[in-house]
Amino acid sequence: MHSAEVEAENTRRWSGTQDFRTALVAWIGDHAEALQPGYDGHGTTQQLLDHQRKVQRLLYDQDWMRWGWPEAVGGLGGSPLFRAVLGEELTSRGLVHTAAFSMPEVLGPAVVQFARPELAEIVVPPMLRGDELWCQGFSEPDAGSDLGSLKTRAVEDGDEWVITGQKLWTSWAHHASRCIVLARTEEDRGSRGITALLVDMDSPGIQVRPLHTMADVDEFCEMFFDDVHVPGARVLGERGNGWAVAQYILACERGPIFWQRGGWLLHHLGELSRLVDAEDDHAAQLIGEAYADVVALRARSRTTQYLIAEGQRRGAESSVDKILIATADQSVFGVAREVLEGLVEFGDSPLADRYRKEWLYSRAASIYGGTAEIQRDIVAAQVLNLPRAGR
Amino acid sequence: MIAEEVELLEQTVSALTRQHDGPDLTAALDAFGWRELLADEPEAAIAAVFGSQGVSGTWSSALHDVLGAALGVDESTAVLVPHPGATATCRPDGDGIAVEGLLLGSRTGSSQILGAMHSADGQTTLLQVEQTEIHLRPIRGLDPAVGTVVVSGSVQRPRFELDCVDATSTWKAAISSGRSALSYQLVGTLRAMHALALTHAVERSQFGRQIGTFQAIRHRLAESCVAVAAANATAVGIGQVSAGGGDSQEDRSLSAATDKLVAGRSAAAVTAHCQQVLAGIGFTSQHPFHRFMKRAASLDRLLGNPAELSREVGRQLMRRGEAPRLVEL
Repeated sequence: MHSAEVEAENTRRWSGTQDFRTALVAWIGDHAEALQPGYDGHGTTQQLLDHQRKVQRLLYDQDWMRWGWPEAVGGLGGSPLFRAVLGEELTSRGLVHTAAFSMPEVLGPAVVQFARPELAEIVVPPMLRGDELWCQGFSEPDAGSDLGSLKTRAVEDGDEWVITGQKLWTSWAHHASRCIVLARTEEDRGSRGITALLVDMDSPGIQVRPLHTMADVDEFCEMFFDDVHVPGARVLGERGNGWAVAQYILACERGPIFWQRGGWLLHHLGELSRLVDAEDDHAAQLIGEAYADVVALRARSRTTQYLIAEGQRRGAESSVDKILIATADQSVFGVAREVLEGLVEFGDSPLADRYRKEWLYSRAASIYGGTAEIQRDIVAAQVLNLPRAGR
Repeated sequence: MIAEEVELLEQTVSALTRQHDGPDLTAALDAFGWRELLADEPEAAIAAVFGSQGVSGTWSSALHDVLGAALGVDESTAVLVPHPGATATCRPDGDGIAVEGLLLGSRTGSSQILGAMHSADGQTTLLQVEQTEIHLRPIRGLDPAVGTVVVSGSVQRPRFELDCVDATSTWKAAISSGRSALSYQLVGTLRAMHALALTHAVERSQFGRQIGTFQAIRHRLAESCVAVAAANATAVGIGQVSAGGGDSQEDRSLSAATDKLVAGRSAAAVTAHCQQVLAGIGFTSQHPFHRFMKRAASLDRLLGNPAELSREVGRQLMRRGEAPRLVEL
């Protein structure tokens, strides 16, 4: 059969997301033991990633991880909604940590979209199978919110690029096999002079230094690039078009990932509702308020998921989703800290460890992926079309 | 209903709510066939009528119609709306029954009132009361245009009880429908406030610049935009899931409570941001902002304010021991 026919057949396999979900939930039930994290509490980065790898391999080998991805990269086709449902069913049971499980969704679609097909077909399947972890080299010490001012440089040398510079806030870099690096290839052209490259992390000249977060997790890293040679075929999209790749990745972050994070938040609210005293009206009110924030996020994100499934993308309007998820995230874990009465500050149980780290991590929800202030600037300028100063 | 039908419905109803208000709008909606539509396509009918009333700042007997339809009473009976803070409109009072509640633009032709009384074990009884038996006092209130009538009095037992299989769940379903209707109207009201503030930010200049160029103003309007989007997505998302059917009464009740909770929380944010952006002119009676602001404040109190609704929602989660998804893909 031609690939288009296989794809069409696969698409017909599920009559819809509900059908897919029902089969998936049954499968999860049958594999409860294999899917359950084997550690108490939040887990170290190593434990988290080991579990992630194990789950992803199982999901890939049994096809679940392949639905919603194009066949050309090891997928089985079908709607990207399947990916959102898969993430939701796992995070809403606490079987995977959303921070780790979101990685394929952040970087996979951009490589599918912008890499040369012969590159994508080699690198994407091992990433989906969990054999490879990828990371994202965007921010720099002097280019945070103002990403367009990044200084890491890529210079053409024959049919190679040579990268020099420093990156910051790169999640999982010390465990990653590949990295999407944004580098300046044109001088003084702001966001227009940037190129995106898929770089192998074992290339000579790359140094990684983990940064310990306030949550006592070594997730972020600094990366140093010192004359790192990258083949020309590793350019994603066109030379100088890296900004579009970056925007695409940011838009992807707000797709199925937000759906699975919504499931993660519901999982914690459900747990909180079991932990508090049934007669506690103050706790009830706080839990109700946090629930409202999560439902609002999910209602909004639902429309975004359908847009993506139709092959569209939300552009600047996705900043609304981003503001809602940061609000919901901080609301849920802020309420957890309130209703669990001192557990976050003074507890020493595995439960305390989990909520302490989640609460601390949620403080960054309005910082990572574009700060709350940048999101509001984008909404004002590009959604509300408010005039800019000096124009 | 297919998308084209919904669009046509919304256009038609939107025109009616812009041209008419009060009893006049009730008559126009009747002529349009609103109550038949409410019986056949409740979700679409409620979304169109209340959303449009919100945007245009108008009001009709529609809230009473929604409650009446859910309880299966005709236009001769007006369902009494619980006073803010209360969940019932009747309570035992010595040998008789005390009746207390609000009518909000109910039909002028109605002669009966339907009240709800809860027993200690949570069962609801629905009681019929002649309007002539009790005291009806029209008041102006914060928002005179909703035509508030304060109902109070005491009636003798026994009362005629409404004939329905399960009065407790019927009353719950009616409250849920009313909450859904109020949520749609709140969304429309917030849209109108947001549009007024947006226009002002572009038209008003200070320090030689449009005030919409200042980041403080821009961020307030962005916040307002997000709050409107959240309330709208929730009303629509929950509506679509309910319209799809299959969810339990427990879920429907949780959905409607959460829907109105989100709308109420958004109303607080949008009102505060827009009022601040509109500043002095928004505080005058010549600017239309106050009409929407008062409407939002009034509707926010009906059938559960945000504090009551969050407690109700939280208690339901605690009772179930889980946080239901409500909106699904």
